[in-house]
Amino acid sequence: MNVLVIDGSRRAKSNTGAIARHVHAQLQGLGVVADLWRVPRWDASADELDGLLEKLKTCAAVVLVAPVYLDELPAVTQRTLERLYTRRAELGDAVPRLYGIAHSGFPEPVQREAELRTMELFAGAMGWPWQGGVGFGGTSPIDGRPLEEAGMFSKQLRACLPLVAGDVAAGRPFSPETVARCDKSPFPMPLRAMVWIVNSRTRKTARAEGLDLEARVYAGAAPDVA
Amino acid sequence: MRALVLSALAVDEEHGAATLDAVEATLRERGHDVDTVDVAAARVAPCTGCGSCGLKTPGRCVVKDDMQGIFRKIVASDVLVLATPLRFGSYCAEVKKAIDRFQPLMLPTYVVRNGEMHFRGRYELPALLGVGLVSGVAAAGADGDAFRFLVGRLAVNIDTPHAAAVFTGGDAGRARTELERALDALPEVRR
Repeated sequence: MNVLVIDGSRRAKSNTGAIARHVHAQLQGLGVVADLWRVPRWDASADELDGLLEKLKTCAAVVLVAPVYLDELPAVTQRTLERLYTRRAELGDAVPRLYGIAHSGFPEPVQREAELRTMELFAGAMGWPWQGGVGFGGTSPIDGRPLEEAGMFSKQLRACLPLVAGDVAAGRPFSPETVARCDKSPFPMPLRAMVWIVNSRTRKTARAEGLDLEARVYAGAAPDVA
Repeated sequence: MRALVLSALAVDEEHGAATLDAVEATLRERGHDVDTVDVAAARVAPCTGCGSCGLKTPGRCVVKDDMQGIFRKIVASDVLVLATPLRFGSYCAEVKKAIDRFQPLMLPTYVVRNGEMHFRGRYELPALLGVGLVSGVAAAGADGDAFRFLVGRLAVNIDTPHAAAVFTGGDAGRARTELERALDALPEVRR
């Protein structure tokens, strides 16, 4: 079985890339022929999407990994899905199953819900079987490092991604257990305590560097825009 | 009352122009000064996630493009309208490209809001009106429900009241009815 893992981020050193590479490695470890592909730049030529279309013609499943920007896919990832939909006729009879992985710095599953629903509606529009989505919160401290090097900050991901890969390799939808395990908050303390600690650290850094954290640089007269 | 419309309705060649006309006319009838920016035509680069607006140049985006002016327009508005063809229940990529750049409007510190962790607000931002045009790929029911939920989520993120109007292209009467209903749901801007 061929599986395509899509890295849905354009950041050079991204947590999305780290998660996608980890899933890719897990799948290979299970004997799955897995490939990794990164979404192209906003202004990518049609040629750059040709490679994706070729891969999709031969894969049985797609795992889309994406960060959450204000509860949704980043624009470049959304654009890739839109362009893929426009060219769906080129896929012929290929109907890969779609799995979604959304991750965010915020811990609550509701902050990933809209993005996973967009992936599901995309699958429906493409005529691809939707196999479910999982979400991970609190991923910001990973800071683009390989998950093996991120210590406690990637502990939950490293514990859950084998379950994710297992479901994909078995060709079954994500199990309720997999979804529930992934959704669990990785924060080791109550949310308000976590917020207080992070804010204190941020304000201390700003004071040390003489920064006005609360600067309102866009208040004032609104100029003309194209 | 000032209404800023960030629109990518023009990407829908069949119904986009008529829909934008309906949006602008409805807002003007309510007494708003309407300013529309076609975000599909404006120079708006995708957010690179550089994080500068957080702790390097607090509150300032270092990308020099039309978002610099759009930020000022947003902050000066009473209503922010996001007008978009629906794509899989979401904003089209052109509108999302502008939304992805909203980070300088928030502080790099956090607050617990609605029991969730969010960025603290930097400004008192305008009420939010999402306008979703159903056409092409969209299925009215599921896509519309997803879009309404999404607009509500953005409102929680930027801590402002919200409403959404979703309608099918080509039905001007229905569009006006939906827009009126949505504006009635925004008590802060009702006239």
